[in-house]
Amino acid sequence: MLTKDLIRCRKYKGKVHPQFINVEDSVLLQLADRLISAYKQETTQTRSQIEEYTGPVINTAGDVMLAKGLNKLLLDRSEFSHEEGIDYYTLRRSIFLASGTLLKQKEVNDYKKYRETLFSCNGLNLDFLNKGTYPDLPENERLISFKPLSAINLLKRYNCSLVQSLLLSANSISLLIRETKAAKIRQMFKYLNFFRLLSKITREHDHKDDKFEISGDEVNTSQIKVVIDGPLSIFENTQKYGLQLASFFPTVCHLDKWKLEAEVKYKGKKSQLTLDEKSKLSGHYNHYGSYVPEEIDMFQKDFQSKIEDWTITEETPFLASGDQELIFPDFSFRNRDKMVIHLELFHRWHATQLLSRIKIGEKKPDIPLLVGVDRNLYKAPEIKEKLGKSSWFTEHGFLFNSFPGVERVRKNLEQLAKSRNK
Amino acid sequence: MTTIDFKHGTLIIKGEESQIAPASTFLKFDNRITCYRAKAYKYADIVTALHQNSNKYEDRAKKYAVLNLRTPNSIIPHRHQKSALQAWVGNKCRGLVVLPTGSGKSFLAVMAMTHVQRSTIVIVPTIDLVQQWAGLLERFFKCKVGMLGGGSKEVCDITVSTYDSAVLMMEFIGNKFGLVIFDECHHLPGPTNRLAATLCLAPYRLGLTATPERDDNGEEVLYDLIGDLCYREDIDELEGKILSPYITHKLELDLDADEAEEYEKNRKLYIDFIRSQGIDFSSKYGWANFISISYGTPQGKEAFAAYLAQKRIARTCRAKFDTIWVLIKKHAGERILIFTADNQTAYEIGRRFFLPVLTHHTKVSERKEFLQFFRDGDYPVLVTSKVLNEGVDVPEASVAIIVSGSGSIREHVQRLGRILRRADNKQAQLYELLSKGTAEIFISKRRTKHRAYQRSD
Repeated sequence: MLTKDLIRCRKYKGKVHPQFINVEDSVLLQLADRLISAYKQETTQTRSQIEEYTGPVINTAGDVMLAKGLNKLLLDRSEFSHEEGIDYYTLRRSIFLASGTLLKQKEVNDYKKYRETLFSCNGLNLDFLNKGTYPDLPENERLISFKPLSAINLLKRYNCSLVQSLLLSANSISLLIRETKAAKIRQMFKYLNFFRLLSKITREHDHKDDKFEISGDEVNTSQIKVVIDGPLSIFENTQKYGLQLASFFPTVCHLDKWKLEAEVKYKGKKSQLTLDEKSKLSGHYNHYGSYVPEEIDMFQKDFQSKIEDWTITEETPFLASGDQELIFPDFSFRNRDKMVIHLELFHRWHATQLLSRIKIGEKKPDIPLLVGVDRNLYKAPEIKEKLGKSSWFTEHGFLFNSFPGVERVRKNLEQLAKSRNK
Repeated sequence: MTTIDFKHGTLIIKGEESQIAPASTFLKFDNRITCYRAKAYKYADIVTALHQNSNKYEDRAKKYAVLNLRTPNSIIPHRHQKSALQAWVGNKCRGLVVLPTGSGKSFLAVMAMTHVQRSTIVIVPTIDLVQQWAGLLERFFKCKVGMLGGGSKEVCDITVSTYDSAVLMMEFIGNKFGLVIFDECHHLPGPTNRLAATLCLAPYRLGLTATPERDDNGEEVLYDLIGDLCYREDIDELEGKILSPYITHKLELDLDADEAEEYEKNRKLYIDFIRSQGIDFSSKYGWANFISISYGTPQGKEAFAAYLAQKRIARTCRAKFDTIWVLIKKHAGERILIFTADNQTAYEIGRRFFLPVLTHHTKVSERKEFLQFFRDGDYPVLVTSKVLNEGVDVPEASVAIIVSGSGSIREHVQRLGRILRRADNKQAQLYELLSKGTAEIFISKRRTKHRAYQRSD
C-alpha cells in the first residue's frame, strides 16, 4: 500500500477524490515498464543500485509523486537481504574488541595514533575497516526476490492502493450493492469473515429516506446496504480495523454494481470518500469461488420460457440466520400466491458450505429455502451420511447431475410450497 | 443461564435481560449479532456486578491459569518496592506505579506476579526489552517464557510482548492472562497502543513508568485502562540511596567559521520561507503543513533542503566529534553510552571511532552480543540513536554523551536514567553537546525542564 505522503487526492467541499490514473495511458505504461525493469535485472543488485536506476526515472516523471507511489508498490513486492557468505558479525566483533582494548588504554590519547594502531592490529580485515564496518546496512542489501507483474497490472494496483491507503484511516465502510450473481456476493462475505470484519445488512428499500442510492435510473429494490466494521466499533470510532477494511476492499471491485462510502482522514482532516463501479477499479484477489457457471444463465432463460406458475425474481435476496451467517441463494422464485422460495445449488466444491447450510436449516426450518446438491458432491461419504440423516434435507433438498433441469426445480418448488401452506 | 464468551477482543454476553441487568452499564446491544457485547477490559467489572447480585453465570471467557510462582528468598525487596506493592494490592491489584529508571521496577513486577499467581503478559516497547524481560523472568521463575515480537510468536503462561505485537495478537489471546503488566506504560494511551489494554480481559493490571505525564492528557486513559496512580517516587528522591549520584554538564561548542556561515545561510532561507508562508509550528498541523507546502514549489523544495542542512550542521559539527574523542579518553576505563537523534549520526560516529552502533537496523543476535560485551567491559563504548532510550538494562554505564536529541523531556530523563543504576563508588555523568548559536540551545532548554535537571551540580 502507499504511505500517507504518496496518496494523490483532491479535496473539494469535504470530499476526497483519489486521482486515479488511466491504466491504458501509453506514457504511464512506459513509466511503469521502466520502473519494473529496475527490479527485473538479471544480475543481483543492491538497494542503492536499484535506487540509482529508479531515482532519475522518478525525478524526471511528469508526476513525481505518482512515480514514487508506483515504486513503493514494487518495493512491497521485493525482498532484500545482505550479501551471503560474509560473516559481518565476526568481522565487526574482531574490530570492536580491538578498538575496545585501545580505548581503555589511557596512553592512546591521539585519535590519529588510535586509528593507526587499530589498522596495524593483527587479524583485522583492512578492507572491511576501510568500508566503515557497516556495509550490511539496508542501502547495501541485495534484492533476492521480486514478484513480477505487468505494467498494466501495476497501474491497476496503484489505483486500488490509492483507495486502500485512504481506508487505512477509516472506522467503517458503507456499501450499497446491486448484484444478481449470488456467487460473487458469497465470495465477498467469505472475505469479510476472513478479515474478521462484521457487517450490518439491510435491504435498501427498508430505508426509503436513506439518500444512499445508486444514482440515475438504476434504482430498484434489489439493492442491499452493508455497513462493515469490527467487533469493537459499537463502542468507539476506532481505526483498528482500517487495515482489515483496506485489505477487504479489492473484493468489492469484483462486484458488478456497487457504491462505497467511508469517512477517511486525508492530510489530517476528516473527509468523505465515495466511490462506485464507474471508477473501473480492478481487484487483484483470486475469485475462483465466485465462478458463475454458464448454466445459470441458460437455466434462467429456460425456466422463464417453460414455467408459467413461477417467476424468477430480480432481487438480490439474502437470508439472515443470525450470528452473521448469511445465505445468498442462486435463484429466488415467486408463485401466483406471491409466495417466495429460494434455491441454493451446491456443486462438488461446496462441501463445507453445504454442511453449514444443513446445520442452519435444521436450526431454522422456517427459512423458505430449497437446496440442490450435485450427485458428485453427494458421493462423498460424510455428505451422504449427513444428508441421509437430515429430515430437513428430506423436505428441502434434492439431487441433480451437473445442473438441475427446470422441471425438476418446479416439482420441488411445488412440494415445498404445499408443505409450507399446510 | 448468563454466559460470557471472549471473541475477537470483546466479550459476548447472552442470557435473560433481568439476569444481565446488574452489568448493563458495561454492555451494549450489538444488532449485528443480536446479543450484548462489552469491551474485554471491563471483564472484572462485569463479573463483579453479576457476582454481587448473586446472579449465576457461566464464564467461558477467561482461559488463564493459576500458577505456582516462587521467587528466591535471597532477594530482599527495597523499602520503596514493598511500599509500591502494598499500595497496588490495596488498589485491588490494579493501577500505576511511577518509579525512576534503575529503581527496580522489574523486580516489583516479579513481586506482583508472585502475589497474583495468574498467567501474565508483560507488554514492553521494544524487542530488546522483550528479550531482557524474558531472560529476567526465566531466571526468577525457572520456567519457559513465551515471546511475541521480533519474529517470535510463542505464547506461554508467562509471555512478554512488544506493544506492536500485543495490538495485533490481543484479539486472539486477550483471555489467556489474569495479569497484564505494561512496562513504560506512557506508550499505552496512543490510539493504536491502547488496544493492547482494551482487547485484554485481565482483571489484574499493573502499569510501570518513570514518566507518566503526556502532552495530550493521556494519563486519564492510563487510569481508565490500568487503574489509578497508586505509588510514585522521583529520581531526586532516590538519588544516592537507590540510584547513583549524578552530575550533568552542558557543553556549548563553537561551529567552525565555514560551518557557521553555512548554518546561517540555510537557517535564513528556511526561516524566511516559513514566515512568508505563515506556517505556525505551534499548531498541531504545522509540520504537515510545511511538508505539504514545501513539496509543491521549487522555493519550497529549496527551503526543505535548507532545513535539513542547518539541522545536520548543528547535529554533526566538527567540534562535537572532537569533544566525543576527548570525553571517551577522559573516561577511559568507564562504560560510555553515546546518544544521537538519528541513525545517520550514530553510524557516522561508529565509523569514525570504530564503535558498535545499536539501532533498529541491528539484528537481534548482534544486539544481544553488543549489550553483553558492553556489560562485560569488552566494548567500553556503545553508540545508539533511540533504541536504548528506555528500559534496556545497562547497569554498568556511568557516562552518557548526548550528541543530539529532541526537545522531549521524557527522552532526556530516560537517557539520564540509563546511567543511574547504583554500583559501588559510581558517580554518573551526563554530557550534553550543543552547537553554540544554533537552535540546539533552545531545544536543550525545552528538554531539561524536569526536576531531575533543575538542580545545581
